[in-house]
Amino acid sequence: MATDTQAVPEEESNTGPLGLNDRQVERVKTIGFHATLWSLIALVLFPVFWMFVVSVNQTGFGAFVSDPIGWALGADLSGYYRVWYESDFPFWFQNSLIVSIGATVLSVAVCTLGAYSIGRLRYRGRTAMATFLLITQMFPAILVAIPLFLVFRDFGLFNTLTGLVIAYVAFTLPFAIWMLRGFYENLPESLEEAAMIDGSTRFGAVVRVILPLSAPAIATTAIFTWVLAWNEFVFALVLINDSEKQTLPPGMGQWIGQQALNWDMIMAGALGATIPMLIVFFLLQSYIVKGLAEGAVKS
Amino acid sequence: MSTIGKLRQFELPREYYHWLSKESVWGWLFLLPSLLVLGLVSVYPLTRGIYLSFFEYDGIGDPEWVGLDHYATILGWTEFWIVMRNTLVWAFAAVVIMATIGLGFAIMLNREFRGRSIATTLLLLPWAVPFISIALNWRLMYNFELGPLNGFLRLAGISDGLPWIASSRYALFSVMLAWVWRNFPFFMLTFLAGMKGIPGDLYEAARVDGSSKIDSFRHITLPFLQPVVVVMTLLMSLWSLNHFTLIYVMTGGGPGNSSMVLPVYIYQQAFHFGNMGLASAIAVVMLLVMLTYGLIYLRLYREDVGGK
Repeated sequence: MATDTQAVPEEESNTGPLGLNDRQVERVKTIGFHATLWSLIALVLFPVFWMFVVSVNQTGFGAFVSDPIGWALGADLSGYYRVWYESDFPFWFQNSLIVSIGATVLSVAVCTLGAYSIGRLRYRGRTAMATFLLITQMFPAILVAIPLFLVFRDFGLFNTLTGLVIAYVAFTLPFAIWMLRGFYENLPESLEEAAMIDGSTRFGAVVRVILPLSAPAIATTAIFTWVLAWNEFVFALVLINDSEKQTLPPGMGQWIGQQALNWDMIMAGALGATIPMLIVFFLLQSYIVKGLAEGAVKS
Repeated sequence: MSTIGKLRQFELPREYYHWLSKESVWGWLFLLPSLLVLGLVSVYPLTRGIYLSFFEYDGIGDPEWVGLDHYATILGWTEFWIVMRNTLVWAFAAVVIMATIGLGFAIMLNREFRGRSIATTLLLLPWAVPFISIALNWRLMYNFELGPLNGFLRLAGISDGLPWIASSRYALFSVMLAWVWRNFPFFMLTFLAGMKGIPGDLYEAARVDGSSKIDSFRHITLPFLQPVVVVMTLLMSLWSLNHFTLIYVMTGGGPGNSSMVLPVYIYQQAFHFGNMGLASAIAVVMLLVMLTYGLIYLRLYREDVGGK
């Protein structure tokens, strides 16, 4: 890559050292660029590719490279079969779905109002509240998890999915508000004013005018919230005790000790846990890219 | 963050936002649910955690008041300082590497070519893999016998294989690589978005003036990207300091304490050794470190960049 770009200035005259004219130099540069970029992409994606390779037929790198046909012939779905029928994976998967969806729905409902308040309304204390939200992002999850474990134990929420959903709403809320707030700051104010002149209250104006307009921004926020919840480990580890009530991350984490040599099964599970994220990712890709880009640039 | 600066600019004369003005009432009303949730599930447990740090408590019996004993223990404890150093190395080295790789890819993607959107999508893919899958996947990557990394080293005849996460020398760095792999796309995207916001005629003018590509990169691209980088670096270093899954699953902090970071350490103290008071005290120290870092960072940011 480095030699490729450094060689360029010398070749700007009509015929370079290799006897190439400008157009040919352009072509060589383009080819070099594509070769570099796509081999780097292949390198980045290799771990995911390897996850798939091992999930259908456990093999080593040397064996795979020297005999890929042997690998393909020996491929089967037994890893996936064992994940689904011989482990608690289906429970974890279901629990993860319940908890992530529950937390996302609640968190988005709460954060929409909060973000509107902070992003749009003017009142004393809102700057302080915005700073407060940023500070809650700095709370170490584990510092909250220890006392939350004690509180949940006293209130019978320990080892329940309800308790986990409640914890996740608080865990995802600051980030969700922070993301959505930027959007409300940039909406023209005449929108609700028109509705309010027509006689609706502030709340009515928000529900009828602002919410429909902010649907794409809310969708982006929901995705990010969902991803946070799907990935969360510490709270699930601390607040859930039974394997059948566990979510995917701590559940699959136990495989390290129990299934140490069954790499095909472990990789099948790892891919299985990735699938819902991939679906979300491909369906809503444009939102995600836009959300990340805008969120970063604005804040 | 500049948003706070922006909020300040918009502030109106006092009479406009009396406590009981309509806008103020709606503002607090809308914020109420968020404050309730955060108060009950975040702030209250946090204060209780701080309170707990002054007690000896195993989670079952009666808490016993010990005052500042835990803090004295921690600060005089070599192990704690090793873990603290690991945590800081883990967070800040990772962010620097991520930002560098992200910038490299952003430069490559910031030009017109066929297949650009596919390339962007593929490079975002690591973000769509859950942490637990990354942890298990990279554990296999680093496996001594079966792992493709050692497989490659053997095939290329470079070495018989490195111990990676099994050695106290490489463990922290190896896990960090997995963390970098998952997070560089964030930097790539934010850099890319930042670059799109730079007016093209600036480069044109620089070219006419005869400055080289490297010069215009240094004097146009980098200054324009600075605000984006600042925000992203803050968020990412806070996320890194807090990260748990990869280290817990890949090495459990070992061998020895060579890859141990604070969150995993605190978890072990609280739930494996039953030292909830001591664990809370360590967590409070961690909170103080993060708050100090965050506030200094924000202050510098407001003075340097936010003022512009």
